[in-house]
Amino acid sequence: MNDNIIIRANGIRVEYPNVVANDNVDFELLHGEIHGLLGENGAGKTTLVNVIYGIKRPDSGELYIFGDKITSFSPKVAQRYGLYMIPQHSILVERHTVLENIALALPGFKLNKKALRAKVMRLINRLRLELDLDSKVMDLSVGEKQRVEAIRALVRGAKVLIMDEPTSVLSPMETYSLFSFIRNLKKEGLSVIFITHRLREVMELCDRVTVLRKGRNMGTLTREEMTIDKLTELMFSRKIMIRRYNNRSMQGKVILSLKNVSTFSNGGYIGLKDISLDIRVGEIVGIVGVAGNGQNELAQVAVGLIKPHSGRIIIDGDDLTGKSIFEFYKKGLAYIPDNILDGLVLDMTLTENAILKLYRTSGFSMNHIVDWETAKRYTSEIVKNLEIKTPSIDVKIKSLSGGNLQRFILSRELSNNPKIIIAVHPSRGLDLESTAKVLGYLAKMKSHSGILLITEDLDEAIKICDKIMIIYKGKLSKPMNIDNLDYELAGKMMSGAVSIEEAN
Amino acid sequence: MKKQIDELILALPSWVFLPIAIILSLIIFGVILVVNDKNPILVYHEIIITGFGSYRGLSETLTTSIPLILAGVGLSIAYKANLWNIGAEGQLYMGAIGAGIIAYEFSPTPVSLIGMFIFGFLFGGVWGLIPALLKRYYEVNEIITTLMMNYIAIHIMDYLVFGRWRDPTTFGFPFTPLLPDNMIIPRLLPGSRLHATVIIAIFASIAIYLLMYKTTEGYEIRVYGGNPEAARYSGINITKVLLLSMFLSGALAGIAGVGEFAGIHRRLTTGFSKGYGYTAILIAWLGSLNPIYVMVAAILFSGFVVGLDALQISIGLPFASIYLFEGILLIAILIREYAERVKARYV
Repeated sequence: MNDNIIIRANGIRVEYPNVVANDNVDFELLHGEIHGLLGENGAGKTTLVNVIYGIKRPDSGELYIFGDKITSFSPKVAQRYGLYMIPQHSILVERHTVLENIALALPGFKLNKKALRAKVMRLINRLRLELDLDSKVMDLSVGEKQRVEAIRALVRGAKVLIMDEPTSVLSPMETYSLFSFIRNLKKEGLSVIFITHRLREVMELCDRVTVLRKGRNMGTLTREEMTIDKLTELMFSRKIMIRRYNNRSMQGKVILSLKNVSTFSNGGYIGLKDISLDIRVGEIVGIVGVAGNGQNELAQVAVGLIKPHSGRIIIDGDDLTGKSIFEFYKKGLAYIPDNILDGLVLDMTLTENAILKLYRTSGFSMNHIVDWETAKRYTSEIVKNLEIKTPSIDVKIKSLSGGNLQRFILSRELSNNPKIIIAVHPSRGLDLESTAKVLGYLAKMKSHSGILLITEDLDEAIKICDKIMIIYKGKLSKPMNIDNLDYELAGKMMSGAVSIEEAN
Repeated sequence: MKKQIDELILALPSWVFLPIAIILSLIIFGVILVVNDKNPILVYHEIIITGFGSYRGLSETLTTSIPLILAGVGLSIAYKANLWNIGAEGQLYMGAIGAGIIAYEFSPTPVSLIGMFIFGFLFGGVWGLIPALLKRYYEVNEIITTLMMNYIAIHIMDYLVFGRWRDPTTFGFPFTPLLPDNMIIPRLLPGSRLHATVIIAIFASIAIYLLMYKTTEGYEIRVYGGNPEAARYSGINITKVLLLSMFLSGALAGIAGVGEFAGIHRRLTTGFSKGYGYTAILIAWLGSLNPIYVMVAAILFSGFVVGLDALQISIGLPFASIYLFEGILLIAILIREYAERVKARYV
């Protein structure tokens, strides 16, 4: 056996109810390589690393780490071999300093802070990092937190780092510095398993890549063999291109407009800074930006959940500034929130969830008495409209799968001929086919409503929107028409390389 | 071990969890009986005969269940709203104090008894409302406030029975004067203490059931309790939900206090309630927070307590047995919560 092989997985199979997450997957990690795991959402990447890291025992297959056959699957075992997983969202103690967090990871009760500090400083210098060991973790950016997690692992003697979609929570700038960090790790002799669904990242960073599709290993390529075309072909069952949903419809009157809206930035909220936008019936306006730049706040202001401290919100000619969300709903507003679980009560039935916004309206209740018969008829319709799979409308909604929950919310929100639709990441977590369905459905809705689509995915916005606006640190760019969009400029604005003011 | 238990849980239908929890606690309590040289089968047989099988026993069971039904149903409203009201005991005391104000501060009238119920309702309700207001406007945890306010209520009662309302004829005992006849809740059956509050208790269970499952207000309470974010999303008036559910929760405990005062003791004393407000927490969960089931749970539990109480004297069980059994049952019910979580994870 090759001494260079650190991890060897043979014929890994993991089955979940209704789905085979890993089907006879082989995988090899060599010493000192950055090995990409590429695949769409649900291709089985996370399942595979969960097996390697010992979180999940495979139903069949063999796993060797440094030549030893693994029989007992547990992260403790993996860590004994020097495998460490860097979580996407850090699990550091926010109120403690960086050094204290690193100290926490060490075994034993006695702590020589001075020696540890010296050790960590040496490590940081070797990796050419800029990191203040005494700053509190809560003051760090997401990217910095990831690096603290990595250093924690290194101090504990990591030989292999597993990173599960680290870039999905990073801005392009932070991604760039993460990549140089990973390259420096490689120079230190570490191996890295890098999970992503982005081709370009693999092309840029990885020495080898293993492509997964629907739980199967589609092949492992070396750096020389990698081309965008080849990877695309392996990743998707069919070649997909950006296809526009260009069913142009007549643009009507302005249905929603925000005028110079600003919000406070306390309590974990990004403040919006003097935001103005108009949405007309018949158009889809996309707000594109990296997560955490104020798009959630924008959505919540536009539906009345957050009250702006200045500026006005006008719906269909009426000033609704400062009114409750219920008044907004009464004007025909539909809202698909960032986290669909915010719009559902998991311990209630489908019927009870279906009337979440309608229960106060005539037909669904009279004199405070809920009309459950009407509610049930209405629920059956919702379920039928988007082909939601459920044994009955009387079961608790938590028994539905994630995709079905997403469809349920979508069907509920779009069922009452809304005049304005505010959709935040409506396709998040859906597979390609469902995403296409959802986007197609939204595109159809625009004939009689104005739609605000908030997304992190520029390509998705290009597919479906008529105009897009970039959001960065609470500021909104001018609307850009999709037909003559400067793709590069948009990307640069998203990453902050070009400021919104400059572009405007 | 945990894995095998989880697999067993998954294999069972969820309706068996409650019976299993009860049977499990009976078995554990049975072991304690065996250690005390008692035959558990005989003891349980005796308990059922005493608690449910005789006119005297059954009427006593119903009598005992009145405060448990009222406070338990009240708590089920708060728990459905995911508000951890631990304060039924204090709310019950305040209800009795409210009734005491009518009885001892005003001259008697033909409608005094009705006034006592209204005051009890309001005083208990307000005692529940204060933690709700503190939670809503100052983000104070309701577990702490409801629990602490129990002691305040109990000590207000002490202050009154030792001071202002003390009966001058009891030679220093901390009692208030016995109520005059027209302020005593009528008894329903000859030779038993069963008083008319039982009708209010049954009516309240049904009314709260209808409130929770048939009205928009109940729906709002359940949505808020199930997911506060969803309540915000739906535009539910969260202040209204908090205040309404805690007021009703306290008010029903307050009625229980009036019932104990004017139906059983007919005077106020220190240590006026035998911890009904705490037992009611157990009853609310035993009844799965459904008011109708809570009523049934309260009656079954009372039967057991009445039976056990009688046995304490006849076969010499230690006095603490009831509390022991209560504790075991509570643990069993909490384990059932675990089982339901495991089940939910895999559905």
